[in-house]
Amino acid sequence: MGRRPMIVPEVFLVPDLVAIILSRVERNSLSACFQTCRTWRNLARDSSFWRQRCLADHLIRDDESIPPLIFGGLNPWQCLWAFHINTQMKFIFIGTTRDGKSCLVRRYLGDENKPLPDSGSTTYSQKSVDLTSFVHLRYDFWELPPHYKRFAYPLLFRDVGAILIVYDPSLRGSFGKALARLADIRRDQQTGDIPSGVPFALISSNYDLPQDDGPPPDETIPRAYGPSVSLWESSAKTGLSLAEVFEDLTRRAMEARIQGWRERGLKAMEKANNHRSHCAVS
Amino acid sequence: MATPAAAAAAPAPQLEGDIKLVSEDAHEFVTPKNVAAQCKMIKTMLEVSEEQEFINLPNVKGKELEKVIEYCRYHVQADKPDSGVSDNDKKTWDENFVKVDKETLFNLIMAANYLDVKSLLDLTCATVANMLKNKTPEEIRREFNIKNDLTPEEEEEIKRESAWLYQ
Repeated sequence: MGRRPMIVPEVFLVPDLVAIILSRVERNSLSACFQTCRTWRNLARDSSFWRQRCLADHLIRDDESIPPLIFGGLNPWQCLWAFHINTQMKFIFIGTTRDGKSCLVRRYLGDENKPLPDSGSTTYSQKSVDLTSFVHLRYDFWELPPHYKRFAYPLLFRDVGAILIVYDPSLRGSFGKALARLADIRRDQQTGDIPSGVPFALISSNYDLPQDDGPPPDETIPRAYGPSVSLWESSAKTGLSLAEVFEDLTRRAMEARIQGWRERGLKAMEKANNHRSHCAVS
Repeated sequence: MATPAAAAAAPAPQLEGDIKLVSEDAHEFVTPKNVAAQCKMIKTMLEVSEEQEFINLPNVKGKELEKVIEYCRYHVQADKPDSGVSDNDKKTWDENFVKVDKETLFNLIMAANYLDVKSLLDLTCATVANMLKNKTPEEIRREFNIKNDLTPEEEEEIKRESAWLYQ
């Protein structure tokens, strides 16, 4: 191929032009570009570059406002871009009572009047949320029967976004059962059967009903599991904090996803670098 | 963007006849005005004054100006609705058009940017983007003669920060 220019090509010194070039570079090659030099590195952190990138990839209209959902130390445009890489979001519901979780899901989907499914079976439903005119997030909701066995669902947990454990504060012992479920899952995470980093929520489903008059649930136990567990009070009847629960879990699921991508990316880059330098030597 | 009313009030400028374009290195190109007007920058100049016989382009060399005119000339014809040129043919033509050495390609980007030909700027930038595919930072620097002005710490930092993009 042609002779190598002796000086740095002028194009690469003009940030606006580099931005146009990098807004065309395919995903896998972006990170290496950002590591090349300061001008290029600065673009990686520049939200107007990421806006340009989102526009070039047709993720948003020019006159549209950016969705406020942000996570993982990324700017809003990077977040939108991260969403478009994988628009699927799988939430798994585990209940301690027969109908609590189904009522919550139905309430969230606006299907309160649909008959409840048989509580002994696995139920699947979907919801599509428009982030922009072009990017649509698809939620997959899986409701597992109260006495599910994890090994009966070998693939279900593999790419799970969040796990929701639903209990009924008007029933004695329900919170304890939720804790037992939580402990099960943490064990599966240690053995690698459920990805680590998956966020959890413990949700009380009947907060509008009179509470069990026994001692209040000991919230220090789930809190001891660290920041991946959140506690929510909700009600299928009033819809109390449901929207917040789903937004919070989406954000935390994306945080975990980005973290997973980051770890995989670093490993893959290491491998590519070693491979290249090996080839260069031999 | 002009509103319909404003567009109706100002008649479309006359784009008949030729205009002489003069490059930085004094090459002259007599070009139909409608071809030259594909460059937004020249279009604006033609609109400002209809009387001028030549336009000096002090930022473009003859070699690249000739290429830009070739690009505009082709697209003025091919982009007409009744040209009979298929999108596929245009794509093939564009691909062949950017089969040039790196230096010419970079100069074409600068020229397309200066003359404001958006589709050519997109085409040439996408071509460079393609050259950046599947390369390590070191390979990119070597190929394009870019100096690494990041400290090792900064390099490590941006690597970690952007690793989520790499799969």
